[in-house]
Amino acid sequence: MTMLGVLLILAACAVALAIGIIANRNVRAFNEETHESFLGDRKERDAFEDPSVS
Amino acid sequence: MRLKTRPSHREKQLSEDKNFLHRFGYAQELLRDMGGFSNFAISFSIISILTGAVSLYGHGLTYGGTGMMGFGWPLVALFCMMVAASMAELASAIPTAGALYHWASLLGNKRWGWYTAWINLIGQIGIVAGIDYSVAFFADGLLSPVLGYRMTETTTLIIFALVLVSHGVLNHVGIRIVARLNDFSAWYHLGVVLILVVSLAGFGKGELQPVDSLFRLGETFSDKPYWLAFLIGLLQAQWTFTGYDASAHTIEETIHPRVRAPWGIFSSVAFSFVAGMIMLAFVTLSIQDVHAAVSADNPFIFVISQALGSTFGQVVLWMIVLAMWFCGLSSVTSFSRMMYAFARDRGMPRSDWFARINKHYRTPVAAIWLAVILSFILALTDYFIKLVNPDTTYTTLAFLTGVSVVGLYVSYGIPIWLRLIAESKGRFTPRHLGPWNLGKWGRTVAILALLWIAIISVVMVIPPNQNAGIALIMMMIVLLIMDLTYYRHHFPGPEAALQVSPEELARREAEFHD
Repeated sequence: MTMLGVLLILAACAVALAIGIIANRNVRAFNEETHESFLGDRKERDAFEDPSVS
Repeated sequence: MRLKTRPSHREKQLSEDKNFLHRFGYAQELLRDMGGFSNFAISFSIISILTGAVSLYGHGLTYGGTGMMGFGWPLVALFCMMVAASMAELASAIPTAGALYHWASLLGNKRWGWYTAWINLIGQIGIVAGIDYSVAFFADGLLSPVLGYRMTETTTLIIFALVLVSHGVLNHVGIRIVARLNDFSAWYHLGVVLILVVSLAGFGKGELQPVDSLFRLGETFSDKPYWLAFLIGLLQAQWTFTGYDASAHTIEETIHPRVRAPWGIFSSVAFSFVAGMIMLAFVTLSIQDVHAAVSADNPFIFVISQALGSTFGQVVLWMIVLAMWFCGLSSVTSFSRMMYAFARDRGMPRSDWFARINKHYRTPVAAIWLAVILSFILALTDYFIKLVNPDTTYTTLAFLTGVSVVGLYVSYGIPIWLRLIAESKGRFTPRHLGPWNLGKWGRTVAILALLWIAIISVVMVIPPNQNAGIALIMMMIVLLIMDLTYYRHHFPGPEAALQVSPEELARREAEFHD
């Protein structure tokens, strides 16, 4: 059980590191020119009648 | 993307941040003064390993035994980091104070946003109440033997009220002082953990137990089968990892928010995992008699007092109480900013009051005090339930924390889920992602995050904590009534802000000169 527990802790550390590394790489590579602000659909929809989101 | 600290660069960055906010139709009303560390610090302070992991230590130990600390903590942290990473991506793409609710509004529609906001607000009430009740519970337990009075639910409630008022006053006075205290709080948390760990490792009265005991599964002190008890015990870690949406709620007060706030969200969870793991390991390995610890009124106080002696143990425990107080301070800030943003879009009754920013302090004063009052009412409700039914077996803390975990995580999950749907429909594409993103891994991480949220939303409200589930259902019924009778037709949503003209934004900002 001890080995399993240590492996779980190491796995959590590895995931944290991997996410951090990927995010950091993407922050540095970010190009504002290709970015577009997401403002949603300008027209109003009713989600509870819209099959796309219910 | 690193930000230089020279004034000219700062001014340029502030101008860019303001212009970016204008794209979403909002004026820069809040004071943008927080740096990256402050943004991280507010979430790190709300997560507060010295609050959640400590105040529910007895809960975790009772249900999951010592193995809860070795397995439960990293398991919860692993998935919470995925939730945090998914939220960080959205914060980078849509950097507004409404955060979860604004993301849900844009990715789904305004009614999804409205429900997300209210569910988040319910969770925020639970988290502020839970944190400040923890402060009161520990302070009461430490004060009563010194001052010679008997600790009761009433004395705890009185201290709870005083703690809430102190947080209301400081938040009222301004973001600058709160930001400074948050910064200090982050270092303070790390310092106290270090003192605790070094004390237990070097100056403990007994020998530390073998490491194996940290990973001992199958031992529960409840009447549940172990697998179920283990799941119930996860509340300890799960409640600790809440409130990191604060980095998103203070995003309009953060300089360079599209990078710093996402890092604040994610890194606060990651660092809390590591520091919390070390702390819990040493505390748990210090336990000489698990049965005696579980039987104590406050197992954490018992363990520390046994390990470090009465006098030094009390000093360390008071340091922990102060850390909890810092945690509550930050949580009131986060709660009030969320409410301010929601009121700004007219999503709640008397929105005109709660969206108002005090021109002198640059803080949403009415929203701050409403946060304080609602949190008190939630704890007061539980107080009266216990007066009527004194034989209840659950603790007030379990009730408050159950409400906050489910409320917050459901509100975290809704925009993540809507993002996946928007992606599958081609509405939300890679070009909409902000600088902080996970690229092709974003979707996988989001799916795993949603699976975890679905599991814990059930686990956190099963008996003996079913009252939290009942409270949440009742609140949802109230929300449904509010929505169907009024807001369905009268909530303009954040999209209405897009109609605001640049001249109007300039006029609003002109009212707030430093």
